[in-house]
Amino acid sequence: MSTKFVGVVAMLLTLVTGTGLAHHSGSMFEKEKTVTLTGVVKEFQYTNPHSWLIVDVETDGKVVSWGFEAEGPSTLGRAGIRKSDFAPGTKITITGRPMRDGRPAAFWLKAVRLSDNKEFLPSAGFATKS
Amino acid sequence: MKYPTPVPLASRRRGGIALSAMLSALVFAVCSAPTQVGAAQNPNATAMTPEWAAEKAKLIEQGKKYPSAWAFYSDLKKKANGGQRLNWNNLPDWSGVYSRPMGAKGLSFDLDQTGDFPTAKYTPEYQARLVKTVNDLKNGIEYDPLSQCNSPTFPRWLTLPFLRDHVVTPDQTTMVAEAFNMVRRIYTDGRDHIPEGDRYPLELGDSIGFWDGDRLIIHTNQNMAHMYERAQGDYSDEVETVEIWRKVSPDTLQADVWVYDPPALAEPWFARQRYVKLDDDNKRLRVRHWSCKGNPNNDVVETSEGGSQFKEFTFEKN
Repeated sequence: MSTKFVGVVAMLLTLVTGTGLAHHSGSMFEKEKTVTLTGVVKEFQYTNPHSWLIVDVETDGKVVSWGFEAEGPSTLGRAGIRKSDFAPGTKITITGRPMRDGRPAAFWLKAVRLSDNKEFLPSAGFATKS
Repeated sequence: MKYPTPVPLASRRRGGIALSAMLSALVFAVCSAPTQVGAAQNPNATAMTPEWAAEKAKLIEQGKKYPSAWAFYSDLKKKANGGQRLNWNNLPDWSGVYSRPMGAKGLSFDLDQTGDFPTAKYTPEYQARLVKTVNDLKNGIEYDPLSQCNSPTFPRWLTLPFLRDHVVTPDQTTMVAEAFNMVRRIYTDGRDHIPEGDRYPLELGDSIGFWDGDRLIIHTNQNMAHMYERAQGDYSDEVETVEIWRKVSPDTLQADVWVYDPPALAEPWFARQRYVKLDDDNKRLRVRHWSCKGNPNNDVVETSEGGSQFKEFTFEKN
């Protein structure tokens, strides 16, 4: 990934997370705080207008299902994120901006698939080449 | 409702526009240094070069010469001697899948916006609404009617950042935005708008146009009151537009847009829109049908404070 492309993605993350999601406001998520969790993909809901990556996270012997929201399939596809990238059982570390009300959900910023350390940045789907 | 004669106002503001354009050009020049690509810079924003600042100032003034979008459109058509009808052998190539880049402030209607407020000059009533919206947003209060999958309407349609494609035929150009399944039809067969007494607000308005060389010039009326984007201000159902579309490079469609809306805008608002053809070497891009009702986790409702909140998530029920 080139330095310039990383810069573009960083900018897009700022724009999209700062102004909210294209279908609804992002005001239900924390503006600054992030949460990083490691878990196992339970389901990838690859849907419009938003997709949800459901991740089972075990803490102190208890499993909680977290939902990470991103844009819909066409934008994820532009970011190189396919439905098949996150089959159930895939182990990942994922970072997002958590809900302000404390529910186990977040706006998906970045995920790393642990089997190959590949990074997935949903907001890269808004990049255009010029 | 028409705008008042604009000459004295235009004369007073000319100096301010020039100064504003120079400052904007300076800001963009500083931010555009190739070694400083990062979160503070948006390479997708229209480059505010001194040349573009000067051209934009002229385009703004051009719009202010006319009391209405219809007067502007009619004059453009007169100057083009009615325009030229395309035939099947000389259609412009607008094929491919396009998307609108974001501006420095995200989904701003004017990609040149750099501050918290849009570049429009609103009437006092609509400016007060905008200020409240921007202040609410700073306090985490924001709601968008799109949350319920209502139509974005036009001219907000212009800002949608998702996939688009275009079908040009001699008598009609069809513009498809994937988001919310929004399809515009621009009739170029010489027909007029619906008679005034029969008009009513439509999600995407009523668009007629003509070709002047490689430029598609459009007038749109019969629109619905809505917002340009979040924290971008509102338009009334009197909003009308003139658009000049042109393919300016093999991968860029450009639309110069003048918005006339006397209840909401103190003067016409000009903004240049750009749509970039996406790389699709592996032919995976598809303009899909959107269904907002397929996933209950996407249900967002307006709170009593005017904010946004999800309903109950299905994944919480283990």
